[in-house]
Amino acid sequence: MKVTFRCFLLIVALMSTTNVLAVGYVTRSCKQAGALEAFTMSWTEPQYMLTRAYLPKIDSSQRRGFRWERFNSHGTLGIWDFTIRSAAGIHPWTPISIFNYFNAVYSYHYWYNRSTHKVERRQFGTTRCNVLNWGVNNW
Amino acid sequence: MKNKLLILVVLVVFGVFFVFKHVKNFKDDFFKETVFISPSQQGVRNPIKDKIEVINEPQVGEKKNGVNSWSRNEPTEEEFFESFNEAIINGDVVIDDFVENGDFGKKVHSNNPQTTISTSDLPPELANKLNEEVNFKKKHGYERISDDDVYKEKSAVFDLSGTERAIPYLSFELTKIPAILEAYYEYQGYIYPKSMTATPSYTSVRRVYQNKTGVDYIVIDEESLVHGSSHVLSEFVNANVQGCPAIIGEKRAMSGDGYGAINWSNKNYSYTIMRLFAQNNRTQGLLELATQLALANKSTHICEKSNAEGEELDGGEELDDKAI
Repeated sequence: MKVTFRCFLLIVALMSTTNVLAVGYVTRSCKQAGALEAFTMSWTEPQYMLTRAYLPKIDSSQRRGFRWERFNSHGTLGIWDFTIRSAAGIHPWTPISIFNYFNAVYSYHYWYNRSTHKVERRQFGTTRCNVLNWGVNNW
Repeated sequence: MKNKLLILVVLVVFGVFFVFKHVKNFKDDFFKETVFISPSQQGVRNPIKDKIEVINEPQVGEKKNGVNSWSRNEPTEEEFFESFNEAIINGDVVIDDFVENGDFGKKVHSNNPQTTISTSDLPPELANKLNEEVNFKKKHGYERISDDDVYKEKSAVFDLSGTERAIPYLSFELTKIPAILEAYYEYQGYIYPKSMTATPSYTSVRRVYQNKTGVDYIVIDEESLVHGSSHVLSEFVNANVQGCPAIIGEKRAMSGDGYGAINWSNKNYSYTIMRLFAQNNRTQGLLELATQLALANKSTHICEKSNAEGEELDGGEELDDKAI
């Protein structure tokens, strides 16, 4: 109930705030929900974005028992995309067995900020779901 | 009716089973996964600090040593991130490989604030658009933006998040404001400009100052780069802020309305200073103010190239999602 209430408050606050360029990124490692994924997203308008997620694929030949495998976001402009949502990794609908991967995601997010003419890079790693931060991380 | 009741009962039983099996301690999991651990600098100003420390102490350790119920001898969080850094060093993971976009990867992962990105490193569609903007700026002396863009910047000034000087919920240390600004402009308050989190820990903030004798406002936007980097586009660079390449210029809409702005980044922060509501000479004083800001923050204003590999590794350590 508390979670629901906080989510509700969050959504209301997000809708009512004056965000100049509301761009966010989130990385979540939710194996139980079939999601090992990273997103870069814009809440106001399409932006030039690119996301890369690295997932630990189980590989017994490796010393640690896994190797890092890269997933790129879907690109319509080469590797970049002009979109409101750039996603990489394994999603619940991706036809890849999530059980071949350990529960961790390491991601890189790239965004061209047209207001400042800067190319921004952010990076993030997690082994958790980050439930209340789905889509609302600060850029 | 009986069938519906039966389905409902089955669903409830499965629901209860799932909760007890996978979310054994729901309340603890909730706090463990979402609460921000504030840096020491922010501790004094953070009203939720004490609560956070109490909540976090036992649970973070428990999580790191624990094993996911679905996993098979899953490595710990530390092991994952150590291995990622190792993989970068060994060349098993190549993070700056952007084949189609030339040197883009090397530039954006250079850890050098002086490195600028060229429009040719970006998608051709975007590059063409940007080159047109560069030519327009050269010809007319300002950048064309929409009235909506101007409105967004202006309206934010009247939607302050607070007026106190000690800004709460920041995950970084605020930049010192040079005394020269406060001699002519009065502090109005601050805004959290970009999105928000359930347990607030903002990585960027804007401070608003109003001219004591005029109508214009100065807005200083700063953003921590602890989890990344920021690089200006080389074609737009026309200034230098104490060693860091910068972009200064006027942005004007069709209506004539507009504002002046200067953008630059150093190793630790990404900055934008805007002059809003000025009728003319919209960029006047912005470069001087940026320079004074850099001089007032010498310890953080680093524009030289640092040890790229080492920085990447340090960054990896900080990637732990406690930093949210």
